[in-house]
Amino acid sequence: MKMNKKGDKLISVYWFAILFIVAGGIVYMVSAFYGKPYDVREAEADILTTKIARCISEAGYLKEGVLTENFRENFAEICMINFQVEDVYGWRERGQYYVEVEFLDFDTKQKVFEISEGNEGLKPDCELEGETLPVCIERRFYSIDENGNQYQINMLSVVRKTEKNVQ
Amino acid sequence: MSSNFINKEHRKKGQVGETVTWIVATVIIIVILLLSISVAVTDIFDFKKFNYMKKTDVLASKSFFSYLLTESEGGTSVYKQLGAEDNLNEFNGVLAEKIFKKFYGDEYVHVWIGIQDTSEWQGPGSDLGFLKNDYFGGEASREFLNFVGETFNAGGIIPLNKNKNKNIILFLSKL
Repeated sequence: MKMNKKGDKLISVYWFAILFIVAGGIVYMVSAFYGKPYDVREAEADILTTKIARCISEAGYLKEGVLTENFRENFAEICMINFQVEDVYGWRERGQYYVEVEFLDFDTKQKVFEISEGNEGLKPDCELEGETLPVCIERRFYSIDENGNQYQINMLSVVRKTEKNVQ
Repeated sequence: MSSNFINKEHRKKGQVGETVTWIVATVIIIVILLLSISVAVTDIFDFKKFNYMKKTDVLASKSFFSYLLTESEGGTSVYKQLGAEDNLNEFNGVLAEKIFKKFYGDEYVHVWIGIQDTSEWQGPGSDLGFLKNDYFGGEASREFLNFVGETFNAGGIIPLNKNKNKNIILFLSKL
């Protein structure tokens, strides 16, 4: 009888130990999972690419005045792009976005025009690999102007914002 | 042998069996817990990557519209050529290859452009009228359409006649 009582006590202690280990594990798991932020930078860069593509080409043709100096200088304003960010982690001082649009002759692949906006310093990071680096999206599309000239348009969109998207 | 000795032996075996069961159960609990924690911490399934599904690939559909508006040396647009002819010709076929295969071939597993003629469509189960062409092959089979229908049709469909039974289609599928 005495032996049985001792065994029961031991099993109770064991049960409590397991209960605490499992509960602690679940708490740690939940906090680790929900403590991590969602990485939305790829979606952000994709939206940026789409917005710029819509700005430079419409109904199959390049918009009038796209291949001009005025468009290059007022690109952000014309395309209604706002690269302002929250004033945290020194983001204001160091731009968090960069976009580059290259217009190539479709047949010869010679560059005929180029537009860029944002922090150019982010571009070299696109050649590196790593979670804590900016997200870069490179895409291409085909367009023609009203004179029938054919263009290959290469677009590069870069979003940094590492601190809020990766931990 | 006395019955007392046999009872003692049985009790010992029972205790050993019970202890082993407890140890195995503990190990299973710990392993499951550690596995779950490692999945949550390392995020190997990319749960924290914001996944989004685009209904239309804007850049591909822009390329598609520009492609249809491109004129050959004779001044006839690809759209008009496709409307007048039954399938892709050398000019618009090669151009389509240069645009869609080169630009989107790496991004998508399936890239197909061609004509669908539904004028002889008999209803569900009949041939869907996808015409094979020399540039994008014969991928436009029923299996391909079903497959794409379930996943991603990011390109575009443009009718080539008033009855809308002859269409030029761009299929892009990531799976």
